[in-house]
Amino acid sequence: MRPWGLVLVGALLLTASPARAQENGSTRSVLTHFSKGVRSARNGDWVTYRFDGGGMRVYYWRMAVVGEEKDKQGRDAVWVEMEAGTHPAMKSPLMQIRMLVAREGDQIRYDAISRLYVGGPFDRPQEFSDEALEHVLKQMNQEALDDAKENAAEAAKAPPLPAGMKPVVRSGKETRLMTLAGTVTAVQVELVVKRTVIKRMWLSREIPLLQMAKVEIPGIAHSMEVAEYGIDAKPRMLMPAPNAPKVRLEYADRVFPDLPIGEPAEESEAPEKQP
Amino acid sequence: MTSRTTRSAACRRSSRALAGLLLLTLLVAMPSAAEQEVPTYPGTIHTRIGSDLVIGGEYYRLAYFTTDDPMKKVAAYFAQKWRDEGYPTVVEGDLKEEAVVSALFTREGLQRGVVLRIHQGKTVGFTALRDLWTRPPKSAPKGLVKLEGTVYTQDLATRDDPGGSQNRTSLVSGDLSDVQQRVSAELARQGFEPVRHTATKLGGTTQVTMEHARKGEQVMTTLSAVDEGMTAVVQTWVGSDRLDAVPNDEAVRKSREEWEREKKGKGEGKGR
Repeated sequence: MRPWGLVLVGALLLTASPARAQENGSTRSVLTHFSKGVRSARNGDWVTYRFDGGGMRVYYWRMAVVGEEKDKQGRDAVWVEMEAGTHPAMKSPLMQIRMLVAREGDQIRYDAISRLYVGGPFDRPQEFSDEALEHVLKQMNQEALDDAKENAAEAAKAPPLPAGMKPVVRSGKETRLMTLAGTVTAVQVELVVKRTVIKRMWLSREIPLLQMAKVEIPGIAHSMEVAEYGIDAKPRMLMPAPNAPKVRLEYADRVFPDLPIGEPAEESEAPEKQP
Repeated sequence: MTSRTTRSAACRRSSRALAGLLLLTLLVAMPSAAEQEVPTYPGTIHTRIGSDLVIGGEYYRLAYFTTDDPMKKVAAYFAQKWRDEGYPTVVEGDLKEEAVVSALFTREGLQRGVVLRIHQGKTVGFTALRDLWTRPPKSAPKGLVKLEGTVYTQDLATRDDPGGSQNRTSLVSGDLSDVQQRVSAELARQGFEPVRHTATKLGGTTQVTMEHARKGEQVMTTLSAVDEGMTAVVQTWVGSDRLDAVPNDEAVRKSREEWEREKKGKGEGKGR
């Protein structure tokens, strides 16, 4: 499996602008840590993170692999459940997602979703129809492409940074880190501009799925920390009946066949007459 | 003899097996049939309000209690309990005159809440259980009128009271006498006949109560002027053929069946 930690370090470097970041051996220490035995994502793996957005904005996010089967295209796939709520026990999650995602070897391909169930705070979980799922995925891919294009264009236009303002990624040695889920072995990676730590994170091969133990953004007092993890996840979403209605796309021209489509009438934009 | 003994032993065995199966079936069925309870405050007596209510097209279960404990303490009890159990909980209100504490139970599709008020120096709590997922079938309430000029209306129905009852509260634009005439005309159009009619002075305002009946059904309508040109209409439909309007499901059922037979007989007679 491609260690998620490396992917995250890669993402961090990208965030810091690849042309400007100095890679000073950080990848090497992370690689050394993961080379001692990183756990591939398996059925039953789960992890819960505590997000602290400052003040009272605390919530929990859980991810779990709860089943395996072939998808419609005959690929190996796993059922992944995600939940977000105000308590780590997730007795009452405010958001639930269950999706069948393809896997290639040990790697879960989160971009290859073939089935999707979504439940909100007030609604019973519902499956997306093929058409609705295709629409959502297409929209997500398009947004990702647009963002990448925009970032590349901005990076090309941006003036060179003043001396000493180059972001630097640096890493520490393998250490023991105390977390809400207990003490784990981790490697600290930091993104620094001059003397300011922009982002600090601890990667750990012991944490299932994301291999992420903790992330801090000290400047705005935001953090993400592993709260619980394990290897005994069971499906928790209350599945809708097979014949339950699915989430479908609704076409405006079918719902309102007589709806006039065209330029807005001029008078609608005219200012209101004053008495 | 031997065969009889064998048969009875076999019978006993099969009875035991059947009983075991029945018990197993009951045990399996019990969790799904388990009643979802309204929240309760320790040390108080809770009185259920109706049974299963339909308010604004949603299922509710309601109860109330009174306590000498201050409102803050009662609100804190529910908030702390639900938060500790891991349910997203919200507290609203000034916690002196009024407070609302509610929690979401998203895996079950339920909302539990308590509305607190002060009454005669005591804290009164209305506890509620609301079903977020199940909706009652949309059926137009029988015998309850919706008039032109209605600015607000709220329906309430009981799900399993004997005979059933339905209530509608409306705010209608119009003077008391005008709205009264329109209600009477609409009920007459639906086949209800006036039974009695009273007008009483209450707190300086006139309140009119009308009773209408149709085979096995009664509608009580209370009208009172709220403001100039605005009248409040409270209607209760009860499936009852009793003078005191107490629901009598058996009497109503028989009466309705008889009426249906009569109607059918008349229809067939005309057909011939």
